[in-house]
Amino acid sequence: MKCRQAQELMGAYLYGDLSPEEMRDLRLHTLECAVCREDLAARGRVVSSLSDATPKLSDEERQRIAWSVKGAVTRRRFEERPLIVRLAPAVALAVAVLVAGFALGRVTPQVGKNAAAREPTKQDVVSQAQVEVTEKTPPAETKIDEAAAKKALAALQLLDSMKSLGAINVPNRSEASGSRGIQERSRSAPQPESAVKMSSEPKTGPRNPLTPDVTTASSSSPPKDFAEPSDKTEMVTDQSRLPKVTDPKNAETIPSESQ
Amino acid sequence: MQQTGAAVSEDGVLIARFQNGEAEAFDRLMAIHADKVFALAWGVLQNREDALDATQEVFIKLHGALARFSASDNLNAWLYRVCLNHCIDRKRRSRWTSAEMSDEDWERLQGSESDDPEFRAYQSETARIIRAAVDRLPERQRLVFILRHYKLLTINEIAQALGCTPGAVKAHLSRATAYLRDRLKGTVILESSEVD
Repeated sequence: MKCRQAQELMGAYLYGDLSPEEMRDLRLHTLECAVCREDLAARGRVVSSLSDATPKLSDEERQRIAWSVKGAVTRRRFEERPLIVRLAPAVALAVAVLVAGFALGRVTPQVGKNAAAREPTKQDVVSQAQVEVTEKTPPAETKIDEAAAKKALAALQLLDSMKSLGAINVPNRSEASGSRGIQERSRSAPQPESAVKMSSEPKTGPRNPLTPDVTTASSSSPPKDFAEPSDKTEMVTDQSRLPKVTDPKNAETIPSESQ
Repeated sequence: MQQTGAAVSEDGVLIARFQNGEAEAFDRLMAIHADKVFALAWGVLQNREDALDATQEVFIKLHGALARFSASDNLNAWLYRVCLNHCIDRKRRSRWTSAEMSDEDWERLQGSESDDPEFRAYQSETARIIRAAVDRLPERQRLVFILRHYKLLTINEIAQALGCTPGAVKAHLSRATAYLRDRLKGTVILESSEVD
């Protein structure tokens, strides 16, 4: 082997890439040639001073590569499909939207009509409910007035009994009573001074204009007037003053005095 | 990089499973070959990020080609050829501007695990000198030297990938080592020989 041939094989020799025959021939030559021997030693030092470690993939890099490859493969599969297949989902979606829009367009006017027809019904229901609630739950003031009216009725009963006993002089009921309510009667009918004097003056002092009206309303007739809702407000106004006349103390004292 | 019979058979089995519709077989193939492909890409491109991108590209190509593989095909040779061609093409497109290894890559390759600061400094200086010398190698010599030095491919695989004879690969390798010897003459690496 000549020096030129030996130098051509030195690189492969350092990495063990020579055949056994080539390796033997090169070794024999380096034993005989000092230049080639030194040349091979120098190359060996260069190669051995450079590590042959290769970089390794980290787990994160390995995952990154796997995901990137999968993503690219998926995209390529999609792109390789025929155009009609690729567009199929979009076309299906568009058709679905159109059908839905058409169906909605047909339904919406009916819905509008139905809604228009139903709206008053709802309002009616609400207003009706409000009316019912109002009727079922009268104001507290009304309850108080009804209680006062009961007391007035009790007083009327007492007056009737006193009249029947002749303790007091009361005008004829037919003169004062009629189709008019208590309020009207109290305003229009002339107040019998004697009855007022007999019933209230001795105990309550000043004359009460309602007294005659109360006395004329017998125990059998008043429910008609109290049951009238239209007169309720007026009744409240009138009856708010009734307790003064039909004070339980007075109501109790009168019969005792008459007796 | 020598593939064993077991590896061949495992590759063949995985390829057959993939061709029968098992997508998981491809994941397994990636797990087996990713490190080698990455190392090869890194050896050529000498840049970690570029090597990662190249590894992805190679496996994307493999996924498209795997359906046409037969049991007798050598998956290793196919992978390295595709990877090498891809990296060389990439490097040519970038006009070798990113050919130089980073300091981090070279220090990692030098494997400086010693705790002796003096020795570490020596290693660091050695790595810097060798890096500069390798970077100045002619393109094909550098490629062959890196592929062989890092045991990424055998002589025959390199010849197959580069489209030349094994004798030509051996000659490239010898010229590369001769160039490095000349470049490193007078440095700390070869000063002992000069003394002699």
